[in-house]
Amino acid sequence: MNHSGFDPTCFDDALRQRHATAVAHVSARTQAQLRHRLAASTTAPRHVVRHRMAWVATTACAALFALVVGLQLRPQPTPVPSPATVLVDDSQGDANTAYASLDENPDLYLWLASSDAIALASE
Amino acid sequence: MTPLRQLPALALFATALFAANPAGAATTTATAMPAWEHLTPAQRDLLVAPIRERWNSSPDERARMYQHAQRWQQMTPEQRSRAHHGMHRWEHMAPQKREEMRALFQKMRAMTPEQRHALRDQWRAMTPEQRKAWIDANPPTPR
Repeated sequence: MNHSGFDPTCFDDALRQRHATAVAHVSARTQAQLRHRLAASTTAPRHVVRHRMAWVATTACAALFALVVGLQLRPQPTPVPSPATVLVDDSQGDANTAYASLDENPDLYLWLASSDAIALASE
Repeated sequence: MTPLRQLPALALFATALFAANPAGAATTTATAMPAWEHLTPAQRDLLVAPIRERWNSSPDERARMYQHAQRWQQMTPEQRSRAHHGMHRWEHMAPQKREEMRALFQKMRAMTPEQRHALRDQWRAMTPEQRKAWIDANPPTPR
């Protein structure tokens, strides 16, 4: 496929030679700038890693704090009373209330909530 | 690193637990027992048992108990609420104070507002001995 006597190997060598010549003619200042940029590009990932570690640590602390607070504020699980238990407890309270409500005149209770009665009771 | 990455999710889970739990507990309490209409006959019997026992053991008080129950039923919801408040006050009164309040109630219910105001001022000025003398002179009628 080499129709015009073109040799790719010689072409590559010629390009490399020209590149070496060009590099040799780069000024010392430019080379220093290039070295600085190279150094900066190689150290950047370390900063990124450091930032990521700091973020993870901060998030972890915040999450741990939230977890501890959440667990402490969580109401203690109380056993759900069975209907029978509720009935017995409520019936005791209802019995006292029922006795009191039927023992005395309801109008007396109504009056006891009036300002007259409150003033007299506090004397 | 992996456990650390799971912490935010755990925190969200804890927050969700904290937020959901009170509501869940309230729901459990509210749904623990149904309304009266949905109670079984056995449950209703259990609840009215103290009244039944009191009714059966006190024949002389049945008429009064029934009259009081009727009065409760005649009250408006607002009056009933206030009466319950008064009943709560009654439950925390000493026997001597109850006697005084019962006598004052019976005396005052037949008075005009002006007379009630005058009695209140008079009561305020009385010594304990004078109050006792007033109670003796105006004994409350039986309940």
